Amino acid sequence: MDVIAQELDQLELETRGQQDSVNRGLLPPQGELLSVLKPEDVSIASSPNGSGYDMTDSLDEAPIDLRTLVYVSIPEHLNCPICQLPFINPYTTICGHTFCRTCILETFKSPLGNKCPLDRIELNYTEDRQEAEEKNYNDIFPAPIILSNITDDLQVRCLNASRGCKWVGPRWSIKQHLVNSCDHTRFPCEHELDNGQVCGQLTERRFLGEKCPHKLFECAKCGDNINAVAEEHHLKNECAKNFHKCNGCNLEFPEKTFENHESYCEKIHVRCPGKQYGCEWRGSREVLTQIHSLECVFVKLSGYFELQETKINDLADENKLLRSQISTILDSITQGKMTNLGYSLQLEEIMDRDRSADPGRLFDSLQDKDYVQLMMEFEMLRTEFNRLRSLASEFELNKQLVTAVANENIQIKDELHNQTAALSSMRQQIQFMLLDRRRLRSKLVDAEVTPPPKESSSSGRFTNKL
Amino acid sequence: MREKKEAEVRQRPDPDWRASSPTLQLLPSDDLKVQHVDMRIPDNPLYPDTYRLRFIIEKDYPFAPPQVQFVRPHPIPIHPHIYSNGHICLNILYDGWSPAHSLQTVALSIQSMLAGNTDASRPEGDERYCATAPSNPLFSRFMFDDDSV
Repeated sequence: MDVIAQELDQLELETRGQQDSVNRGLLPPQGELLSVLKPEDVSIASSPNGSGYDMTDSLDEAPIDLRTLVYVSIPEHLNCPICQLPFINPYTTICGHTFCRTCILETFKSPLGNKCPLDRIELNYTEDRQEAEEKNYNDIFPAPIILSNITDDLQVRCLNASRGCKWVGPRWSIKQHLVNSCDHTRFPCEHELDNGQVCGQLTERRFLGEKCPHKLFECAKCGDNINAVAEEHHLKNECAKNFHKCNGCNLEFPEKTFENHESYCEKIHVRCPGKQYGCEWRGSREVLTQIHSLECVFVKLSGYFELQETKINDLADENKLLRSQISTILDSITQGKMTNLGYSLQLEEIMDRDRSADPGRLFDSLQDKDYVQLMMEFEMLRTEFNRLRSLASEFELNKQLVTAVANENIQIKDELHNQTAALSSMRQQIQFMLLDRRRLRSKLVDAEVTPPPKESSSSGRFTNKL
Repeated sequence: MREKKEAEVRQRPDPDWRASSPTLQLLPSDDLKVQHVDMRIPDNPLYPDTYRLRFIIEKDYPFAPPQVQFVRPHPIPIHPHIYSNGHICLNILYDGWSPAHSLQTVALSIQSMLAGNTDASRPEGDERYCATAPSNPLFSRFMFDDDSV
């Protein structure tokens, strides 16, 4: 490994200068980025009611950004690997991975280029529709509709949750909720002011009514100038004369300090801290601290219970983690692939590697060169194996031929035996016939030529010769 | 893309972070743009300390890599791919970046790089590099030609 440090050109030196001054706090570090990353802070500063959804013009609804939604629970498998949020308009690649459409298209514009971010397989894609059609590109395509249905059905919280909306519902209905029913969506106030102008302030739906909610009036309790929008906040947090009677000590306190008072009032009735473990006791805080907590068994055991509880929670966490790991591994197995630092390996290659290298070094040695070399070796072995397999099958064929020939041979031998037997029987018959004939002829001759015995003997010898 | 980035950064420091890798700890941070991760290397006597990684989230994240380096006051681990100013030579932090990486997967990669190391030395030309290197490691040009470690 080496670094071409000398090649730092003027540009980089300049950048370094800037970076250093950023570090020392002289320059705002990329002001744009800061505001990009902290939109909530900005909007909180501009509206006291927290961030949420505003409809500035009812005809032209503000687009709802699904990426800002807060989900009640997110099944991990429904998360896009890039934005880490449940899929929005999911697209699937030819290698079987799924991303949000905007995420994968943005990736194609990034330095990674037209490759799958998970296994780096080249994907054919072009923005030009006509060109894509001509070249028949279909390496990325919309994911099965059921996936969009599932992600659209995930439960989300209202975008106006920070303003107090408690609504929770499926993602597909968020727009309907915000535009038509959410009391915390803000609209421009359409009432006329005293000077004849339209008020125009963004106001939550619950304040909109027949009168302009921004008109000031005097607080019935303290006489401060307030308006309908601020009334709730004023009574709860500001008004010094909105008294509230304590149930314990019967004294009155302003609402703004009441919560504080309840947390230390000695007379107020409270429940035993061991109530979650089964203690039914209730009484004033005074009695609790001085008497009950000293004798309550549940309080004494609460330390043990808490320990057990944290242990159980830890185990549940671990269980969850292991379950997710198992499902990832199962996924990888079903896809036939395992990803490691962005490299994808066939399972057989990993097993091959496991046998040769010791496991500790497996992942570190997984660099390009090594990988390519292993791949080549593997390919060589594979072709060699294929060659041997074809040779073996040829051999098998030959063996079959030989046995067939041997069988035929045996058959022929049998036949030959039969033939020889037939032949020998025929020969016997012929010999028998010849013998018979000779006997007959000699009888005949004897009968003819008996008187001249000499002649007969000579002729008999002649026939015999014949 | 801005909500996406913001959401991304917000999503990452989830409670499961620690459960899934107890040797990595994401430190709480007010600035979403700068995150720190404390890392321990179990089972390697070369690295007995806790080391601190600093991530600076760049504008195009996750489509461009974050700036990643080791920072003091924690020691900088001695490794043939880690310069004494904390810069790390690891291809996935530069050319090999993929948007599917997260702060956690990057931290895990670096952790496994350290866990498997047996060579207690600095890279070749360490002093020369540290004298001239830009503060942002993304501006350095590393050559990823050594795959042995």
